[in-house]
Amino acid sequence: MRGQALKGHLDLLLLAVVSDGPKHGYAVIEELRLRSVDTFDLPEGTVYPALHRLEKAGYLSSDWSEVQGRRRRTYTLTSRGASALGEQRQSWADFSAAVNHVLNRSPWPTTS
Amino acid sequence: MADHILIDRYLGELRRETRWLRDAEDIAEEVADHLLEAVEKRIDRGLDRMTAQKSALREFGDPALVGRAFASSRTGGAAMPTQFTRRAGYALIVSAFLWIAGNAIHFASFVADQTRPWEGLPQALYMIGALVLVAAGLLGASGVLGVNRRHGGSLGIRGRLGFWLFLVAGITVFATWFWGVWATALGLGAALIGWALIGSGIAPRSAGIFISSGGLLAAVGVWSLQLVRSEVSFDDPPAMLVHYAGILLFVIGEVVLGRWMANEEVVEEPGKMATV
Repeated sequence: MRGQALKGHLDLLLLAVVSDGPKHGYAVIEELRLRSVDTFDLPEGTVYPALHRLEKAGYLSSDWSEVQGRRRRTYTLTSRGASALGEQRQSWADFSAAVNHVLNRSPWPTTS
Repeated sequence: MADHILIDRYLGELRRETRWLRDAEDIAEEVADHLLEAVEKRIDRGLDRMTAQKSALREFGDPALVGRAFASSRTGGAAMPTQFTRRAGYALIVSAFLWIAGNAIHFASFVADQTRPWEGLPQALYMIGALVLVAAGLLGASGVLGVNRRHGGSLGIRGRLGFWLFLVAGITVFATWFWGVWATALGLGAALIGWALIGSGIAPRSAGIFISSGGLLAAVGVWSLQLVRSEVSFDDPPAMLVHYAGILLFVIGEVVLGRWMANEEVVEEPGKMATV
């Protein structure tokens, strides 16, 4: 699945991956690929601008460290990011359940 | 990275694509870390160094697209030159000439007033000068919008105040015949814009000129207010001299900043770029 299909969902996926613990960009992309069993194989270079955007929005924070003589930026989920992730998880669950009901022609659940 | 010639070349292209962004060097270092790690993993899997680099770069994506994705990820727009900022540069230059023209016409009206009745040529000249100065203020304010955009939409409270003061400076020329009011507004606006420009990398010379002119204009504005309160003529020669010196310095600042913005190589608008 390439970029176009992922549009709109990338932020949720990135927040979910970073929620397990601080990660640098390469590790985020590898984790995304691993968890999606290579389904989300998007151009790696486009993940970094998304990480920067999430940091600017206050959902992630980043720190620089030195690893093998190179500067490395590591991203951490902020408390604001954690609550945004919770909300986005819930709306994705609602949305995917609704789509599944439509695709499987199953009746919409009622509360009565 | 002598043994990573392809990655070096890629990072050079990426730096060129992102040179307008304030964190361009951080971006290059982050991408370098990613690419070198990707190459090491591929070499561990048995690829030779050159093939590993080609594979890692293919996975990372075209440097032009990646650079533009970085630019478009900035809230409020990237700090880069666009057609809008270029036009704003021209607006600042035209505004500078209008400030000079308007002040010259006003000065001519004061001179004519010495020998003729006010109702007639002096008054007509004064009104024409006021119209020209209003246009100068409006163009200056639109130039500030461009400066703000060129700064990545982040001049902040100083930029917003500067914009409104430029507008007030233009409009009050008509609202009051007392030049001390609009000179004060213009001076404070210029000082705020100059302050916002410090350390931004945007025409640093103009920042200093704006602050100096702002100080002069604001000082002479306050001085002229004092003259009015003590019922002394505010056309007092020393005050007028400082006023014109402040205006001259201010328009030099506008021209320096305007030329800098108008001559920049324009890049694509962030909104038109590919994003994920």
